[in-house]
Amino acid sequence: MPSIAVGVAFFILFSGEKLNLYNTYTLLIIVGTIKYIPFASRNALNSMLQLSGEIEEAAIIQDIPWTKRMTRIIIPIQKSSIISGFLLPFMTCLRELSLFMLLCTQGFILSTTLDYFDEMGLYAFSSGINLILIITILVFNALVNKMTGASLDDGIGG
Amino acid sequence: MPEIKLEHINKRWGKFYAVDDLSMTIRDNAFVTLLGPSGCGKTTTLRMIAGLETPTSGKITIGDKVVFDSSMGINIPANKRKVGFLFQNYALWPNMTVYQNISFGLTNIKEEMPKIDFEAKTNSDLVRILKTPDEVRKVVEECRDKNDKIDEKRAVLKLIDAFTISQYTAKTLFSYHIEKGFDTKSKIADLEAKIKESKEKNNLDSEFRYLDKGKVVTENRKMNKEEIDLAVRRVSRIVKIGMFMDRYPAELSGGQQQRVAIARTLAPEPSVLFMDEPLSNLDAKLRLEMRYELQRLHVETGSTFVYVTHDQMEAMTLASEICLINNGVLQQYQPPLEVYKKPANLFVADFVGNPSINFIDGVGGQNDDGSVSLDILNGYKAKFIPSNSLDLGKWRKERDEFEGKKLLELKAKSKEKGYVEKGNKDEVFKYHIQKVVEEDDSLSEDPVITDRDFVLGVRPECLVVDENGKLEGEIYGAMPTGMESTIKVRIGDYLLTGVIFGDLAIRIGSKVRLNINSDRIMLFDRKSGKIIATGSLEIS
Repeated sequence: MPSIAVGVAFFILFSGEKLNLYNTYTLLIIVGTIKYIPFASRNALNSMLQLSGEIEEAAIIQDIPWTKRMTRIIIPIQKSSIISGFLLPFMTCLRELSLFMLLCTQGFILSTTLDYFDEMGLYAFSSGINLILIITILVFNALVNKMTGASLDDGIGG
Repeated sequence: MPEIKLEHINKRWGKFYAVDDLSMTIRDNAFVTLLGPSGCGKTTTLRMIAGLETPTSGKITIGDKVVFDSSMGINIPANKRKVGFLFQNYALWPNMTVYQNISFGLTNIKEEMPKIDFEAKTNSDLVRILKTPDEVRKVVEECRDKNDKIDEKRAVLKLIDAFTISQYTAKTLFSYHIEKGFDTKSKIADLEAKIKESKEKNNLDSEFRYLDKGKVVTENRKMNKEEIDLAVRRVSRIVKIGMFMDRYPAELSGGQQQRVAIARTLAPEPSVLFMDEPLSNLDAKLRLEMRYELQRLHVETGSTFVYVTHDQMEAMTLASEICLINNGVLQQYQPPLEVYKKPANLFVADFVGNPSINFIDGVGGQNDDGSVSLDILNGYKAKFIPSNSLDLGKWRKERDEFEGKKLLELKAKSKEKGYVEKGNKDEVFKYHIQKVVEEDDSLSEDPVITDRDFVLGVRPECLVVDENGKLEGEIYGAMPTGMESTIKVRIGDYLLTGVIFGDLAIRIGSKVRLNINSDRIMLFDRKSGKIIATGSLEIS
């Protein structure tokens, strides 16, 4: 689904008179979540399915409560896929323009500001902003690669 | 102490009955193996008792507590049943070290326990050990590395094992550096004064439990880290994994992983222990070794063991009782030797025993003196003499009555609401008769079986090579192992398996004479597959 189409849908939904979230971070977070949740969950889901049920049953038999099972066993085992499931969509979202274009004013977030300077012909400014974005993403990518072994280079499935 | 009772347990998925009307009692301190071919419902049974699977109907009691009853709507979850479960693939938590794996369950226990003054207890342990400073010095001195420095980790481990103390106490002990000439006398006096003080202050008994009017005070508390450590060390000593405590499961071999899994299951001291094919992933030698360890464990812990296996050797050697299951139906539940000597039906006879039993078809009838005359192996005449008196007519009548009753019960059941017909029907076991040329009888029609049809079951060790033997045959194959040889003898079109002890030189193709010389020959009814009697056989 093209990002702009998602943007338009949410623009229409949330800019009515009663429910107006135009130009708020809340709206951007909602839209970003909805657009990227399939990528994030698919990653975590696959690795969760690979985990044998007996790992948890072994804990159930020993009367370990749910919260402890999650925090001490399941999440530590799934740590890498959960982190990569979060960070990979996060990086893609950082440089997203078309999704947020219609939902906020031009100076609201980095990518739209970049677009604004670009239109105005202030290429030096937009290049600077671009550099910030690129470096941030590279740093995150390196972090994810190092921490989890998952990588944006291999794709996140979309 | 618990006794496990299953009453009319059913488990089905759709039309498939995994467990069909299973009733059995596992007595306290027993070692019961559930044995059967793969897919017969033994693991399902075990998981139902443990509470990891919900039966479709029936009642399960552990001790005096009903843990499952479909008619009353009781279903106590697995974590409240206080059982131990050892999984087939061990299910160790890969993110924890061996020590954490074992102690994790313990940190979670919160129960009514006596209140103990741990500081005083530790101090008294220290006093006990400090009174023999030479031994401590000896243990510590053993841990010098090549630079003549003492390896602290190793020293602490050795101290733990030498004096049965926790690692915290061992570290304190090590920090005194007795090997460098520590003044033990003043320390002992110091510690003893402390112990005396806390004893007077808190009114403690000899095991440092708080006393209130002569009674031990209990409180609902978690286990102290000292207690946890002692428990971990205790189980790790049983399965000998003290030196791997800091490793992760991935850094252990299969056998070590399994021992960790056993330790983890044993740590909370469950009175019932379930094991689901725990040895199936190990190599043959290690499996034998672990078998001995499990046996020892059963004696040492005094718990009730329920053990699932498809390996009949394991079941025979370990169990105090074998529970044979086929197609979800209980076939026989008796001590292993009983099962071997007097199997309830053809299936059991075939499944138990290695090499497997010989079946010989026979046609004939009962004589006036109680013996049964049979025609066997195309032209031999045999006379089966039962050990106990046998009335075949009465036996058949009882059999038919039993079958009739079963049919009636089934009919009554099928009228009940919600009854589902068993999709995987029970059939009389199709026994295999070894022949030189195997016929494919899958296409031929089933023969009409009358009451004159019998099956003889002859264990391989009952065949004896004898110069005056009545059966004349030819050696078809031989497998000497040194201690004994398994031979296959051809008699006409038929093959019989025998075991002879000693290293006889056997040439394939040579003629031999055989005798069936035993009073443990089994006579089965071919129609129902059930055993009629055991006895001896005379061949003429």
